[in-house]
Amino acid sequence: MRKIKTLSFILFSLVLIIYCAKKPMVPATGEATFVETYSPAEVVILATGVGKNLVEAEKDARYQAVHFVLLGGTDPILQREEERVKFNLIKENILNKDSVVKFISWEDDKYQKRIKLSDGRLKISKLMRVNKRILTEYLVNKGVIKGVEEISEEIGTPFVMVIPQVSKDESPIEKLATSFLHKKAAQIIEAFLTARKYNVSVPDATVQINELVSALAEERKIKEDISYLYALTIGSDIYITFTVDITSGRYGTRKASVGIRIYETTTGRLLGTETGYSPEVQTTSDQVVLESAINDCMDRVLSRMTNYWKDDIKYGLQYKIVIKFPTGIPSERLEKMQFALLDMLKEGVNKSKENIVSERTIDLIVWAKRDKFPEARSIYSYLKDRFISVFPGYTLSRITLNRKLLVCEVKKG
Amino acid sequence: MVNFIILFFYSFKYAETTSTYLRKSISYYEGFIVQRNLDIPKNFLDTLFSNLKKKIFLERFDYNPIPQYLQEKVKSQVERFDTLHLERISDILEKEFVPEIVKILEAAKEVRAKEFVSSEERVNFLTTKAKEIGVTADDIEKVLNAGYIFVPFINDYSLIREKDLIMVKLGGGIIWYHISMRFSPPKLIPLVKKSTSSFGVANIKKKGSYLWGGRSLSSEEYTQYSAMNAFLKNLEVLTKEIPEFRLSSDIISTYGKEIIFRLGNKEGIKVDDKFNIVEFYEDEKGIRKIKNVGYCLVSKVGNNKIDRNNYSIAKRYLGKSEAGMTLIERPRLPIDILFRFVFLKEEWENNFGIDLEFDYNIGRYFYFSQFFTTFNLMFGPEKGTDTLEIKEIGFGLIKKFNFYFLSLGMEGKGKITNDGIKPEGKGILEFFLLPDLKLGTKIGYDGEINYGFHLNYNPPTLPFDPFAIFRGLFRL
Repeated sequence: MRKIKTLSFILFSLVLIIYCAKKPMVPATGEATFVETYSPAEVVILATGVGKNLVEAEKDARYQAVHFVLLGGTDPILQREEERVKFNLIKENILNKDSVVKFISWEDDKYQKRIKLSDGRLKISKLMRVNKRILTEYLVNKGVIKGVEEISEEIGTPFVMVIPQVSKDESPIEKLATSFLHKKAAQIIEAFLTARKYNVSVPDATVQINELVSALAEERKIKEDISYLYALTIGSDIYITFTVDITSGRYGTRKASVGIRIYETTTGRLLGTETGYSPEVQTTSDQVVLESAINDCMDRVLSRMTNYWKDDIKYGLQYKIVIKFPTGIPSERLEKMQFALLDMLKEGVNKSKENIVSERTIDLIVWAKRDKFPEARSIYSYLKDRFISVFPGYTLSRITLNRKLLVCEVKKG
Repeated sequence: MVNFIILFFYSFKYAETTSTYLRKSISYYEGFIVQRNLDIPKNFLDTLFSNLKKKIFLERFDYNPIPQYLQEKVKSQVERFDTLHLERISDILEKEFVPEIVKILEAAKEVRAKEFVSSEERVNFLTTKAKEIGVTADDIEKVLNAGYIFVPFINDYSLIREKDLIMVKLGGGIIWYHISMRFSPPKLIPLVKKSTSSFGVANIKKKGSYLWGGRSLSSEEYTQYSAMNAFLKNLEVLTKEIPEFRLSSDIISTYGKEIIFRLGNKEGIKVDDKFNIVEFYEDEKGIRKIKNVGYCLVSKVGNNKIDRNNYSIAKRYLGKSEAGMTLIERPRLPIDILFRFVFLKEEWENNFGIDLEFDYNIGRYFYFSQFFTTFNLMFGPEKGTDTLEIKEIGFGLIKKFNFYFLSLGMEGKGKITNDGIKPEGKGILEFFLLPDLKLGTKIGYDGEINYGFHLNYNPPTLPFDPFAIFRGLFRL
């Protein structure tokens, strides 16, 4: 009898434990869609939730919306493996069906879909605005991701140039000056970037493309990319080009499409392309559809940029270094000089990548620690001191120096 | 005809997948297509048409007026028809009316499209930050695709005299066409044909004339008006029942039995209008279906003409309700018919009566819920015989209070009996058995207690107007 009682107690306890055990926090449907970027801080998500009743289904939909912003779609907040690992440790603090509501800034009172499933559960779809900024700040505070400020501390504030993409025969600066819509587009992109604490520059007529930069680009067969030339001249870390197209839609409406491309300045490497579309809307102002189209894709653009920036932290600050050699140096000596300079650089920096090593030029990208080389000038100084000591009778002379670019030449004397 | 059938079914399917009513704009053929050999007085046809416009021009519609010269042009062609040639009528209207309607829609599209800006569009970047009205090409397309034309017809009319009575029978209906902008040029497609019939009765021995809406009518005219009244009320309900025109709305929220929803006086809803509460569900094969899960009565009408966020409130009286479910209009006549079995005075030999009562919901016209005028005829066995005689004719007022499926009420009336004119007070208790059927009891006191049990039915249509018939028969 005693045994039966004990067994019954154990069985009852087991049933109770299994029943009360916290259910795994996995969204029931996995359905969520990005709808629009409402503002630099908020995104609208169409989320679907399933639950045994309306309250549970709504909780699941909220959970799903935040889950999507964190981990779903093409550009979630958590993209890197280490971020996901850190996130898993605090997952329950954020992705909790009861508390996830604090990241929702607005919920539609209308259900896009509400349907009873054959198993008796309820499935709903609802528009929700997720406050991405609060969510990001929360993750930064918890040390899951790095904030822009933190990245800035490590490698400086990212400096971004925004410029319209033009045809060969046009000047982007002139385009900005003459086309109101292009100027407006630049301003809207600028607003998004400044809201994320990036330094932004929209070049004006006072910026003249450095001739040497132009020559370098010609050497690398990318002279036609005038945006690249401007970015190198200014010394931005990243540059963004954009195209604007506004057309007439059905029934006299207007529709805008915007193409945005992000490049790494030092290499001219394309980091991402996004296209945004506005709805066909009745408006008296093209600016409205333009802003709507930019809103449509800007969040993804920024996400790509931030992730690129985070990746770059691993290696340090990126600089482009070009060293020119005069004629008349014996080839043996020249080779020694080149090898020595390359070794000096490799010793001092974290990583380097040679683009061109020819008789007259060394062109390479280096990644250096910020505390050691906070700017291109410190690399120049480092190289110059060492070079003079190794090759007496020769010196390094600066031709161009800005945030990202160091162009110098070897001189006798 | 095939088109007609396909569209008829398509329209029902469409209704299942939409949850919010979208305003429609209508035009009409000014006149009736009258079946051959029907001898209808011209002035009655004119009266019938002017009253038809009043009934069918519901507040849920916008109107696209057709210039008179086009009406005349169409009339000269349509008048030749003595039967309903749906396709031929459609061809004429398509040729004459549709280009004009398209012009009207083009001109009005921006204003009307504002109505179609959805709630989610009202809170997106375009409307909140850019301060635009948020009208998209899709909204305009909805306006252009919301055009309908109706053509009324009469296929039955007869006037019968028998002894002192005169009776008019009236049959007919409306054909609805949809202007489909999916074609270029737009096409007119038959949508649905709704028909009904009614009758009116009057006693020709009445001294003087019958009064109707301030007008004096002869017995013949009175029967026509009586039949017309029932005919038009039925057509109004039948029009409201067409899926495209049926009001529907999502439930925004619920609080106990109260349901808050997005329709209001702009769509012409009134207190005590009935709505089905429906839920979409998937069966085991994943097919989407619709199910009625409850029923409610409007208790407060929101003034959404001034503020579109002024919502209406309905009270559920059967089933369940939850936010996100859908309300779909359940058009019914504002009349309750009671069939009552009454136990009368003890001293009577056969102390029972059978009472036929008609309660007109008049409160809905001045936003006073569940307020009725009532008149009844009670029949009972004649003293000492087995034959039935009228024992009571009563007129009164009723106010009811609904508590979920229960309804409590008070009635005050005056009645004419064999003992003379008497006042009577009654207490009412009813409960809903079905959405339109209540079982109840009344206990009355007119010096002595009487009580009875009744069934209360709220019909969608009636072939006659009870009060008009009563007046006609009793020469009132």
